[in-house]
Amino acid sequence: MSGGASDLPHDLLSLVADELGLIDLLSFRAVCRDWRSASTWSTAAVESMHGYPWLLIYGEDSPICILQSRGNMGISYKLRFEELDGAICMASIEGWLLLFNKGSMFFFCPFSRTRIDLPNYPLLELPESYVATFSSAPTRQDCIVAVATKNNAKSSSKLEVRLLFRGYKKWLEYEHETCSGELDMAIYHNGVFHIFHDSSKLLTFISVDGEVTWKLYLLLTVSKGTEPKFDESWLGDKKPVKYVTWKTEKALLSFINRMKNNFGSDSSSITWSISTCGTKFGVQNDPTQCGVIYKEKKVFPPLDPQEGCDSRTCNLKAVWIQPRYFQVSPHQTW
Amino acid sequence: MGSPLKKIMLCSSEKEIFSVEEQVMVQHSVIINNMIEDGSYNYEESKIPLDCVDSKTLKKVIDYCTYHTHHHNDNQEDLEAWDAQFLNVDSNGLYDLLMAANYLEIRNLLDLIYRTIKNMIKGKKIDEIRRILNIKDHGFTPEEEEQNRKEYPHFY
Repeated sequence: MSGGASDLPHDLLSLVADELGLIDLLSFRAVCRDWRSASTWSTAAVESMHGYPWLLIYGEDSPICILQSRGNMGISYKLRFEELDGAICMASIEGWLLLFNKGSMFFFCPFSRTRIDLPNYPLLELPESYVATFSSAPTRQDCIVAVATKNNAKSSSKLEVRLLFRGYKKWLEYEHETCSGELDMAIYHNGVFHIFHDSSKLLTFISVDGEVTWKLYLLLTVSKGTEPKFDESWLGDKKPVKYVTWKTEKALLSFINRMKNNFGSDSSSITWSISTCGTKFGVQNDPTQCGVIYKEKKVFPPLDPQEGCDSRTCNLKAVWIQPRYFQVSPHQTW
Repeated sequence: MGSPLKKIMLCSSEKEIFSVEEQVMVQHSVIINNMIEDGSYNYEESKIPLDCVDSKTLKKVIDYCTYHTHHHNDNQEDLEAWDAQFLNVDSNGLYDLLMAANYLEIRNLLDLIYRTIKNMIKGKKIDEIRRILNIKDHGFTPEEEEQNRKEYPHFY
């Protein structure tokens, strides 16, 4: 009777694959061709929905990336993604990344290595202050991409927003005059775009038939790890999302410590800096809330700076990503 | 629910006949339960033909159902220990059991086998999974295999 593993019916194999976490699913798909086709629609959803995002560190001039699983307790994996070489990660939602590389913008799901190109962004370089988000997986018909930028974050309060609707070839451009300070994070929830900025403010907008309506809120507490409250007096009929922010210090520190160990004794004089792209994730047992990790830059100075020693800085880029896998047709276009 | 004294006949792919307490199979196998309930099984003459289950596998399946029928009040730890011992078979034996459990719709045995396969894969390198599950021909072209190894160097 025994035909061996490759003779198992696909529906039985896919039941096994559906239960696997991301790393095991990727391994499963590389075991043999039959297992790969049986797991075409597996997404590692179980792991993704019950945990915090993972950290993907990508290189400035190299396709080599490091994936750190399960926050600060995780394991590190070395992976190779040509698409991330020289790119900037602008947004990360449900396992999809929005990447920018010298004027070209594209979606990339690193684990299935799926790329969906977008019409060229109107600018070749991103201004110093920017945030971006997208409303859903780019394979969905109703996906909208939003990029918000400020040319001079400190002195100007003029915000430029560009929207791209699924299937469109052209970016739509909008401006808003009352957005002060640095841009912290952008998310989309329940039909509303949220732009967190200036550490304590939230600018929301909705887009209906190409018309954009803005609304500004104040956040009462913004300390990381607590739940920020909205100033009720600002609330209109459409409420912004209830959200919790997540402390990232521990996870980033644990990653930097690993890097230091790899560098050996030489590492004590290095200043490490890590710029991370934030993400939005689901909160367990409460679909009305969402978790948000802000875009941030953390600097870890050397513990014992030595006199006369060259102080070097190692700049890393990273993105918080949900460990989701999506198989998409290679012919998928925007 | 079948009567505890009644027996039913199961016939393996080698045409070997196994006589089993009806209750044992009715409790575990959806297919056999349906046959008994809708009256399509004739106690005087019927043998249930299981053309895709060989004798060795069928005997294992009957062992599983019998044990779980008579020991369902045992504590969880003892049952798990028995299950682990029961599934201590080579990979081909495991596939045959999976196919048989699927054919007979034995839900808890299927779940047990899925869990076992999942644990065999979990945290393992790809080469190791291939060895454990005895996969000799992965079916990828040499170029695809090389590409996989280049993209996921840590997974092999």
